[in-house]
Amino acid sequence: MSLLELSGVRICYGNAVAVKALDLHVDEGEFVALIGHNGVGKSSTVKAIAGVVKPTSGSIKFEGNDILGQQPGAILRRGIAVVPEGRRIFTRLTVGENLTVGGTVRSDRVEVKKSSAEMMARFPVLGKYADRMAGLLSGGEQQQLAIARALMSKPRLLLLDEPSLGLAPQIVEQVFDLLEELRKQGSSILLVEQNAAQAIRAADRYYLMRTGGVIESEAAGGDQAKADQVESAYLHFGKA
Amino acid sequence: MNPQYIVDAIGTGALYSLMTLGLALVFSVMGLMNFAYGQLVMIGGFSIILLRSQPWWLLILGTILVVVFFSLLMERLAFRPVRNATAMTMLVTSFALAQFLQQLARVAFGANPKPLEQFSELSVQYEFAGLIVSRQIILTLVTTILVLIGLALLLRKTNIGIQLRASTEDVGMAALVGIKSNRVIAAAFVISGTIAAIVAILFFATRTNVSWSSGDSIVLIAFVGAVIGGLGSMVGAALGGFLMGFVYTMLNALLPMELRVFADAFLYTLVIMVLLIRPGGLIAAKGVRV
Ligand SMILES: Nc1ncnc2c1ncn2[C@@H]1O[C@H](COP(=O)(O)OP(=O)(O)O)[C@@H](O)[C@H]1O
Ligand SMILES: [Mg+2]
Repeated sequence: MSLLELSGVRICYGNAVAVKALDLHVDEGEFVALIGHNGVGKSSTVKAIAGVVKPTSGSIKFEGNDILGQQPGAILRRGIAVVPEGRRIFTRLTVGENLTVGGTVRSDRVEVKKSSAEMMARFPVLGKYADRMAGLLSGGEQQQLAIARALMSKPRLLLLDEPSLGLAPQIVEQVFDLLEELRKQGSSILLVEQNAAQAIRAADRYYLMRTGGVIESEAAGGDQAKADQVESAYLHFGKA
Repeated sequence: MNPQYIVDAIGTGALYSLMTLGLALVFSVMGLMNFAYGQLVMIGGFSIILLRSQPWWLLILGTILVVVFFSLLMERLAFRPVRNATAMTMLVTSFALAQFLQQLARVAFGANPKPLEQFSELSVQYEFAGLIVSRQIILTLVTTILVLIGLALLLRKTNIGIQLRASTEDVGMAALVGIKSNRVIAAAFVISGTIAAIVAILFFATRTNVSWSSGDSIVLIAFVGAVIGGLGSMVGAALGGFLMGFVYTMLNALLPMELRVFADAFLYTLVIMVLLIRPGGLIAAKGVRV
């Protein structure tokens, strides 16, 4: 049984179909990338999994339970945490408060405090600026905060929507290193990216998404040649 | 200019800043301008009349409980069903609710104002450096400062406060981290109701009666105070409300007698000028919709 399983997921905004019929799965401990150009429906897919938009048909199962149509809070409580597009950290809360808020679904407040300290040790910049307004952090620091905030809920599956967007290349490198590290520690990850080559290199498996659905899915597993090949095909496809 | 006016203006400013805070808090959390807020103060007024013969602590506690109860009832019965509707629908709902509560009070307490026995202990006056300061003004100032400190502590130090601030900034993201909007909004109405009750006590302490229409002027002041302060910012709201009260009192004191009837016109001209210079208010919060 897959950890996360989407089948025949269809997402519409009014009359416009954003995703036609999507099949996708993530296994326990797997790092899966979902790549595709702007506007193909990647974020809609993430939102559907997180319970922000409701698919018109299809099914979404997490650990075998149907989660389609549940509220975001309920889905998070089941173990799916999101690092959304654009990061969406709370800019007028301090860094420490952002972490606290990330632990909302956990009942033990003492444990949440402990996790918060762990995050600050793991991301030194967050510890350094713990009492600073999060809006004052740089883009890369905000991205670290967004990921740390999601980790505060101790998720079974981490969804990331374009975490590298708008970041300088060496900061993007840091983000991918972090994902690598999380995977080594056994986290399950679904990463949405436009940055195809890098995502394919990092992931165990990838899906290439085209308007409304998946067209290709393969094991990637750090295969440089494969990554380059898909990248060029993908770029070509983009120009066509 | 007689510095005595400044003392009075500060007292009124403090009271208006409290009024504004109560209204602005709910707005910042759910984008609702609750025009029935003035009626909460009016309900507080009637509750004071009913509890007038009780010991002071019971009068305060009872009034707060009554007003908070009505505030929560409003949220549950009137505003929750329209929470995801347009801002206009919420606005119309709040106007309708204000009318309903006024008429209800009129039926329950009659069309004529109900006399309120004076709080003579509050009119005791002290003299500091040639200025006359009444107990009522001292009480208003001390209470306002305490409420501001209390609110700041609540919003910064408690989980519900932090969740409330998070929801203020990004409701969608707040839901994504598992914050329960029902809880946060109920908390905002409890705080708003508590502030309305405190405003009622300070406001009616200087009045001789309470009427079904008592809340009208209050909500207008609070609304304008919140707008000039910059919607969505608590510091801005407190400041905006204070300026409304301060400037209004000063205008009434300083304008020549024959122009005094136009004090309101002068005040609102100033408000318009402030908004022309700073359309987002004095302390603009970003991304706020009116
Ligand atoms: N809230 C919305 N309302 C209407 N259309 C939307 C909305 N969000 C996304 N879309 C449309 O759905 C399609 C997929 O968008 P999205 O999921 O954001 O793609 P991606 O993340 O891959 O760039 C696009 O055509 C976009 O315009
Ligand atoms: Mg997107």
